[in-house]
Amino acid sequence: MNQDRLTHTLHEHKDSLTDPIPDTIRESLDHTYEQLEAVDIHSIRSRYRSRRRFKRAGLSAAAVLAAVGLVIGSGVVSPAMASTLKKIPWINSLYEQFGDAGLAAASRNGMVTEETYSLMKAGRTVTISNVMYDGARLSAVVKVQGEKKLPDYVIGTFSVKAKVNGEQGPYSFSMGVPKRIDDKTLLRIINMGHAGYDGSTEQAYEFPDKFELSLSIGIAKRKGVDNGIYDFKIPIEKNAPGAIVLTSSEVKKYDEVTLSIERLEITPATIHLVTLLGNSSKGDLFSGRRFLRYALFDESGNEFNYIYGGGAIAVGDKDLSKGTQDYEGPVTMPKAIIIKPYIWNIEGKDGKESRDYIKELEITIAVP
Amino acid sequence: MDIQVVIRAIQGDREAFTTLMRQLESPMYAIAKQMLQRDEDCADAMQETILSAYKSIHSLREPAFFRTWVIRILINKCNRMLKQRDHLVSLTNIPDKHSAADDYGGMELREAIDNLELPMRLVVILHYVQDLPIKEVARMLDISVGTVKSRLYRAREKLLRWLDFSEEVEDTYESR
Repeated sequence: MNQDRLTHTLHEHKDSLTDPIPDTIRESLDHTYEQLEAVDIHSIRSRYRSRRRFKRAGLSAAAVLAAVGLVIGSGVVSPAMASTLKKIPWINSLYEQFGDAGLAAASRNGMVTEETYSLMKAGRTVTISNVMYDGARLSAVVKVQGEKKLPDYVIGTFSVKAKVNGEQGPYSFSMGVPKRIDDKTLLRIINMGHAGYDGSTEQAYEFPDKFELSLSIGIAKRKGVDNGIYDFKIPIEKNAPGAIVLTSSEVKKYDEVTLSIERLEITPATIHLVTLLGNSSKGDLFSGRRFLRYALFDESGNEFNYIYGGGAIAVGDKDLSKGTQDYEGPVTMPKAIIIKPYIWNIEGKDGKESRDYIKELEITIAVP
Repeated sequence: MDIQVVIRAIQGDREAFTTLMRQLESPMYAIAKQMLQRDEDCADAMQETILSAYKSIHSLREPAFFRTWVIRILINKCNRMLKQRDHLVSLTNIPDKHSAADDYGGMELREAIDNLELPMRLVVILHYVQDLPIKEVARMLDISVGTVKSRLYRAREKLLRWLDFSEEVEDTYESR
């Protein structure tokens, strides 16, 4: 095949290369169009005009302030202060610097392994370290180091394939934003979480407490030098000091929707929530608002940051779906966790994004 | 894109704005899907884009650039979400990427495009699949026309290598 033939083929298959918009997204968009009616664009426009009038006058003043800011900013952390900071053990932890609060907590609680796994190919080394597995999520730091300066695209093309005991089960996977440590070193945090259920076998699916993780890290290949694939086999063992697993038999109902919490697992690193959502409303109840989300709070109203979700899988009855989502672990163990389901919304004259909590589906689970 | 409809939208006509946005849903979804992968995230980015565009359309000075302007808002939203939420790929929930490509040639091509790095994948999708001119792709991605051309060239080179490779593999199997 040559370039012309390829261009022709691309045009020929244009339609088959386009995914149709799924119904759920279509409904979300329709819902958004409906909500535009509530947005008062006239007041937004008048504020915009006022801002433009002030903008010119403000420019010179802003330039002066920026200059002052630069002078002050340059001395924020003195060398003495930096040295003091380095003496605090956890400040040098990669998770403390680049991870979320849950991973930082995992570092402080001794949940991160010290083993490192390295592979070198023609002067380029990929290292896996800081492995953390608390039964809910598995995290690791992938470091790519070169002998010369590493171009950004080396890690921009980063890909991961993972297997648990040789099997590619249903799991969610996320990669952190690439971090450049220096010219020759880039690192990236990866997270994996089990989905709790395998839709293909209709069986519960979780990572075992102990397993072998096969990780295939792909970075930009170098023609004639290496294929850019680095394969690792890493023994994984659950380490979750003080983990608590809670279940609840409470079922909340809102019209034709039911919600129950199958499991709530709390470790210093992660809060893992497994929900069972029943919806026999034939799609009408949450029309245009398909994606029900869950905000988690402690008894004092402090919200736990959302990390990621494994999505929802239909279980047994087609109206029932099991959803898994992970949140950053608590700084101190809460007395209760309040699960507040909500739908993302646009409201008010300014069209501000807001949460529409569904009080009827709210569930509180006491932590012993 | 009908310029008169864009002008009406700029003047505050909500119906005109909705009509224009509906015309852009398909390219918006194609881009969001390439960048974010999860449908929930795509829905968020597209909804936020519609809202942002509606609230700030009065600031659009050149009606002819409406499509470019909207897609740039979307790409910024997607980039922001990638930074904020990490690059999320839910393997359990990925819809069948090949569902739209029901013929063998389309499937193979689709798979090869999916294997391109994101910057190259985006220019291929925008130019070849969404039929957008190179100049417009450059404006959307805030890169030069030369960069778009070189990315397209590199993408074609890679696609050719992969497609030729898979043909070779097939030949090997067939000759056994």
